[in-house]
This record gives sequence, C-alpha cells and structure tokens, in this order.
Amino acid sequence: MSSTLTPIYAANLAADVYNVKSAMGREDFVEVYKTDMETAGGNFSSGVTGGYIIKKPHVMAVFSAGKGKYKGQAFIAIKGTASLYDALTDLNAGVRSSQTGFPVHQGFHYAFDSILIELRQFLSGLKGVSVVHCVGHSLGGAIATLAADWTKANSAISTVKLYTFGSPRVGLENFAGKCTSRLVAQNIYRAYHRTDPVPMVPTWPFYHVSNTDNGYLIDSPVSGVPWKYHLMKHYIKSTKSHGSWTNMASNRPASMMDSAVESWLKSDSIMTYAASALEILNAAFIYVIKKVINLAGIALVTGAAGALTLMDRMAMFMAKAATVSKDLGIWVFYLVRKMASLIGIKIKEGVDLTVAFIRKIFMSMHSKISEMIWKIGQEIA
Amino acid sequence: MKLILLLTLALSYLTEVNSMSIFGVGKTCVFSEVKVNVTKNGLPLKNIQVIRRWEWNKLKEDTTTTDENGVFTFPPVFESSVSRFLPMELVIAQGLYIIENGEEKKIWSNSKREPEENAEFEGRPFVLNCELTNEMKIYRDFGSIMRTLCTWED
Repeated sequence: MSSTLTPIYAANLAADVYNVKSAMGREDFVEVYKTDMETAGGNFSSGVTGGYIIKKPHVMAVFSAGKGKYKGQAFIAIKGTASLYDALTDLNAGVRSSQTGFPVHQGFHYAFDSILIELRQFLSGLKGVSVVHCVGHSLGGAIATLAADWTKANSAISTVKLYTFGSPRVGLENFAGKCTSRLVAQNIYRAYHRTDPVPMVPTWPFYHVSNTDNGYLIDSPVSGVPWKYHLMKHYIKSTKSHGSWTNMASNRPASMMDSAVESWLKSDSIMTYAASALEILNAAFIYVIKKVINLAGIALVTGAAGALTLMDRMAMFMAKAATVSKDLGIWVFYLVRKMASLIGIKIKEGVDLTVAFIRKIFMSMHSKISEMIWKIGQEIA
Repeated sequence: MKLILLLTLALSYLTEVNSMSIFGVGKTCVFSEVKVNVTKNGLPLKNIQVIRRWEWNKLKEDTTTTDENGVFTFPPVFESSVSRFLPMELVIAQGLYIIENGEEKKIWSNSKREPEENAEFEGRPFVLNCELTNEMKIYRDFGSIMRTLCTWED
C-alpha cells in the first residue's frame, strides 16, 4: 500500500489529537487507533512501549509507532494550546534560529523546544521504521512542521511526511526553502481553506512550507462566523468530499502574470474587497520584494540576532530600495500607496518614503489586524 | 500581501458578525438537552442511576435516574470561559454512563467541537435509544469521534 496517509485519515488524526486533553477523550482515541498505533494500546502515561503522550503548557502530542497496516511507519500528531495564540498576531515577537539552524517564529520555536526531549527519545526507540507521518491542525500544524524538519535532519528515517490543516506560517524564506528541500515538496500536504484566516498569518516575511506553491487549496465561502473554515470539522468535510490528494491539488491557484501585477500596481484605483483584487495584492507584494532584491541587490536581513524587529528590517529594506534609483523607488511607492489606502491614508507621488513612514504604514495595518482578530474572537465567544 | 487579505476578511467578517446574533454572548453549550430511552433485551431499565460528565476546562458531572419507562433526561448546560475569546478549536469531552449492579458502564461519548446547542448531532435533538446488549461502535458522522451503543433517528 502507499505510505501516504489519505486526506481524510490525516484530517481525522489532526482532529482526534485534540481529544487526548481529557481522560474521557483519551479513552476514545485509544479505541479508535488501537489497530493502527502502538501507543493506543498503552495507558497514555508518558513513554509507554512504542509511543508517548505529551502534555506541555503550549503543546500536546501523540508520538506512536504504527502497527497493523501501518507497521514500519510512525505517527507524530500535535496540537497547540491557547497560550500560543499570541504568536499569530505578534509579528514583533521576532524570530529564533530553529533547532535545525534556520529562522522561525519564536513562539513556535519555544513550543517545539518543549517537546524535543521526548521526540528525541521516541525516535531513538523506533525499530524498523522508514516513514514518519507528522500531522497537525492550526498551531499544531506549525509545530508539526518543526517536528518534521527536525526529524528529517536528525534521524535515520528515510521519509518524513508532513500533513497540516489551516497551519500558520512557521519561518522565514530560508527556513521554508530548507525545510521543503529536506522533506521534498511531494511529501508536504498543506491543506487550507480559502477563507481560513490562520494560514494568512504571521504575514510576510514568513513563508509557508512547502515554498513551491504546492499547497492544497480548498474552496470555501466567506462565512458570518469568522473562524468557521478554520475548524477541523470543515477540514474533515472537505477532505471527505475531495477523496484524494490528487483531487485536492486540482484547485491550486494559477500563478499571477507579472504584467498583470505591474499594471495593477500602477493604477491609482481604490482597493475593492473582491477576492481577485486581494490575490493580486498579495502577488504584488512579493513582486516588489523580488524586484528590489534582484535589481538593487539589497538583502532583507531577517536573521535571528539583534534588537531590530522584523518590522524595522522590512521598513529599512523598503526605504533603502526607494533611494537606490527612481525606477525602483516608484515600485516601492506603488506598493506603499496600495497598503496605505487600505488603512484610509492617501499618499501622493513624491512623498518621502522614510523608514519611519513605511514602518508606520506597516505597523498601523498590523495593529489594526491584531485588534480585529481579537475583536472577532470576542464577537463569536 | 496576505496581511491585507486578512485585514479585509476581518473587516467583512466584523460587519457580518455585528449584524448577527450567532451565539449567546459568552455562553457555550457544553452539553445539550438529553433524552434517552434505556432498554435491556428490549425491556425498559427502570430506576437506575445515570451519570453525565463533561470536561471543557474542568471535569464536571451531574446525575439522574431513569423513570418507569426507562427514560432519563438532562437539561442543557452552558458555561463561559475566557478561552472562547480565542479563535481556536473548541473541545468538550462528553460522556453518559449508567450504574448497573454497582458498575459504571459507558453508553455514549463524544467530543463536542461547536458551541451551539444540539451540535452533538448537527442540530438534531439529542434523543437516543440505548439497548444495553448492543456493542459500542465508533461513529464519525458528526465530525469528531462518537462512541456509543445507542442509536438515533436519521
């Protein structure tokens, strides 16, 4: 049989790992997975033969050797806890060097760090396992990404597969690139609903894994309940209706044409909230960044050390690019103008694109988003 | 930039949420109203003790007994928690147990993932027929794992 979990199996597991929080839920988890996992036969104390159940302040996880039709495979299923939610909106939290040496969001880094000892023990105890499946939803998906990356880098396991549902971005571009090449893009199954807001944060310069546009986009409507399509229930329904990863891949968005991005950036039209306009805006941001890097050779330094926040670095990068040449400066201006228009600020050509000004635009937008995320949470409570 | 997409989504959501009263403010249904008919070999099981347990942030329980027809009911339970102010997966463990010959026996368990009343059966009333000689089965019809020996009307 194929050693890839089906979409519905991965989605169910990502949902079921939430059950292990309570004794009642653990009992059901054991029953459901008793034919597939060694751990499920245990009593869920930490370190039973073949697996671990981990309960830490920021993370809960099931590590288990597979059995039955999953013999020779192993599972790492992870869920994040409420205490990690700050990480989603706190772009200023900064980055830390991951356990594999690349910059990742520090909130996710510390959460993963808290389960590393157990992960190490678990992997060292595995016998005859050649495939490890790492699964997680939401923040659990972020930590599962770090677990997959670490496992591939530090163990003899030949294939590590990653399945995430509604995962936020985990690390910066070089982390995303390294993790993708380590795991191999085909082993990364990142499923996300079009109207799930969590995969949209943390915002750029964080990148998704895989970084090859191989995500599994699932169409979903805009809902009156903001987080509706983030919930596992809907990921389960979507995976059930699509059936296979191949079917899910059919929805991948086509790449945006550079010429379309350029003419859109140049236009002074008022931003509308149509989905097509939002997609082009996202493409425009990446387009300008790449143009700056390619034409001016300015590197966006996003390393782990130093007192400067990502926002500072981003603003410095843009401001510097604006001064390099008039040709480049105009693209930075177009982009800043589009972003400013969203927070109700109209800027005119010739405005001085200083670090402070660009930073203010970014920060205003970011704080507005953070504020709204929390406000939405209160509205639905 | 996806930052902007999020901002826009947030704006459109806020507009819609403000105009709708989706849930009672600050209230989450941790167990819907329950009506269960208990039988053994087809005969009503009268006057036996029933325990209902749920765990959201804390394990809680209440008890009742079956009536002359083997029927028991529980009212809905609502709780508030600051964790509902976070956009995260709601997870409430639920269980129904009967005490027969001094022994506790689970007849139904579930993981409730939505705050609305009757979300256990996707909006249908929580009405079960539980024949104790049935085997426990696993159902995934309503999203998360449900284990029970009971049946319900489709």
